[in-house]
Amino acid sequence: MTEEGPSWEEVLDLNETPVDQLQGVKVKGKDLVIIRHGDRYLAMDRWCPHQDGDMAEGRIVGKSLKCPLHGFMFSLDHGRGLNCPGFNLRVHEVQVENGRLSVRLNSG
Amino acid sequence: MIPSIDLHRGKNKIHENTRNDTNSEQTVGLLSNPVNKGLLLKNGLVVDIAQGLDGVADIAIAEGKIGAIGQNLEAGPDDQILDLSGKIVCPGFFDIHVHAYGGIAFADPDSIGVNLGTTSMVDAGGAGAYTWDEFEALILGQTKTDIYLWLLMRAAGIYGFQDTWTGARSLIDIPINRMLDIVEANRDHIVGLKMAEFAALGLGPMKIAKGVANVLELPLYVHIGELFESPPETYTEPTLNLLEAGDYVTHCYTPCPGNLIGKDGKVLPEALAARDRGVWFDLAFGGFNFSFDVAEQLMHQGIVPSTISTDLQQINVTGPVYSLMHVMSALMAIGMSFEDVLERVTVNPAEQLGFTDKAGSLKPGMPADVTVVEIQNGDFVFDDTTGKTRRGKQLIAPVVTIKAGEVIYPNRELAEDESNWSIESSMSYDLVPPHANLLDIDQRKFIGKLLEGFRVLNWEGVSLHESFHNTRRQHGIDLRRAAEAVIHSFMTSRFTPPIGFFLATHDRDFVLSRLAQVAASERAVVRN
Repeated sequence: MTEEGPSWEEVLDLNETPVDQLQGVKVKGKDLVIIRHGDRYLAMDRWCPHQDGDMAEGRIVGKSLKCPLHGFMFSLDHGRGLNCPGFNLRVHEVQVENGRLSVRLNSG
Repeated sequence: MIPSIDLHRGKNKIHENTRNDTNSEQTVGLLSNPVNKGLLLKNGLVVDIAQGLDGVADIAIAEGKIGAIGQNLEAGPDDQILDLSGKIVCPGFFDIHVHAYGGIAFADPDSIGVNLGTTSMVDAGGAGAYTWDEFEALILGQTKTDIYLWLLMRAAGIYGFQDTWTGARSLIDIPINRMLDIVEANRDHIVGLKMAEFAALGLGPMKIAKGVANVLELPLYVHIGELFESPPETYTEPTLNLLEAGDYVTHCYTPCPGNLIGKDGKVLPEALAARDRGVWFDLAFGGFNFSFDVAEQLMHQGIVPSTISTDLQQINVTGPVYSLMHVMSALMAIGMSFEDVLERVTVNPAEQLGFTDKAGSLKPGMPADVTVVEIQNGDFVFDDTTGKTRRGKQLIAPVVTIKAGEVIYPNRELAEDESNWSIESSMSYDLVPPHANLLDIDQRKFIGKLLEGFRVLNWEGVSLHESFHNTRRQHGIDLRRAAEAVIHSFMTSRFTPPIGFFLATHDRDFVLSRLAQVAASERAVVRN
């Protein structure tokens, strides 16, 4: 069976990704932030939709990613703004194979 | 480090008393009545700037009021005694800029009030003329913390960050007659009018706001600092020139465009002139509007806030604001003393807002609003809203709060819990939330009527707002119960967004479908 949609892009060696830290990466020209939250890996848009705060400079609070500029917080589960209704970050699919993390862009 | 702070008014002078035991005892006779079950605060260091008290003393509380302050007061047989040795006993803290109501506020306003040592606070523009009655129904009398309002010139109040205020360009959107009626009937709760100096609005609405404030003989409370863009021109200077003694500039240390620092890097002369005319400067730290660099620069150049406030709202309660005490501690890290910050959260707001009969001091006969703190020593890092930090050696921490005689212990977790600050997390998109099962039959019937009206409306805020209120009037249901019926149909926490404007931000089909589910449910509670 052939998967449709964007392709998987290998972006990181997990051994180089510290736990609970954020890392900015570029995938096919798109800026993303890679989040290693415990055993979980996530990829989200890097720039805050409010005023382009760099989410890679933000911090994880509970189950959300907090923008360093104005404190807007986005769910790690679905990217919706938790304290800023109407503002959302796109969450991108990730997969791990052989210690490498790949991302498939969500163009929605 | 700031060598000395030039406080520009006599009433703002740094408290110079040395810490001597108070030897005065003032009573209103309550102690002579031993049948009153009361509370005795023993051995605390009482610091009450309004009375010039600064020493170890006892405070007797009865019937929700301060009974006496003095040495070796004795408890009645049924009195509760709190030994506050080593703690600092202050008048209840007063935060004149929070968001307790509306789309950026909290599920539990007390979580940022009495639970964090603040006994009185002013909501800064959560409600305008269209939404005053929702504020009144859902907030007033519903909290332990006393809550007042800066009534927003924009009729809908503040309901979210996508609100750009551009509607305030139009006079039609400022229902002045309605504002006048609301203020005249509610002067006990409305302390002034709030208006934002946003470049997109131009100066016109600010002039209208100042005119309305003058007609109502209320202070104008002016937000400075652009939130969404960097315009080529701002109107802070002419706005400052409009202000008179008793008006306010809030966010006085904002780093955002339109702040109090000119292009030459110096304080705006209009700001100094306003200060000299008697205009007040309020801190309102916020999520956008406090810079240590700006604060230090302006302090040196003569702009010192007369009130310290937080601007606590959903985006900043998990940092960098956290609480009023945290903000006070941040100010101490850049040179203010404990007495400096204390007067700015007690006597100053009480005097400026005309509340000296009910807040700001521990005079016998006053409401027993008491904030007990301790000063922790250590190495503390404070963040501003630009990502910069300062280190401080002292942190003010809450010990216990007395509100109208009731003992309340601090609970920071309550404020910072996601269910308290995220409407989105509280939204129940897939299932009818459990709270909807508590709605009674009359509330469900109201939801059904609301659904009928909504089906034929354009899906925008004012239409839904008016339909909600017309329907609940026709149905004869109390506003609080009507609003709670809607809130509980969608959320698991009791947030208080303005109902119509909140619903308009959600998908029409989703809202109609949910209202239909709730209206049709048979699991209604029958109330006797």
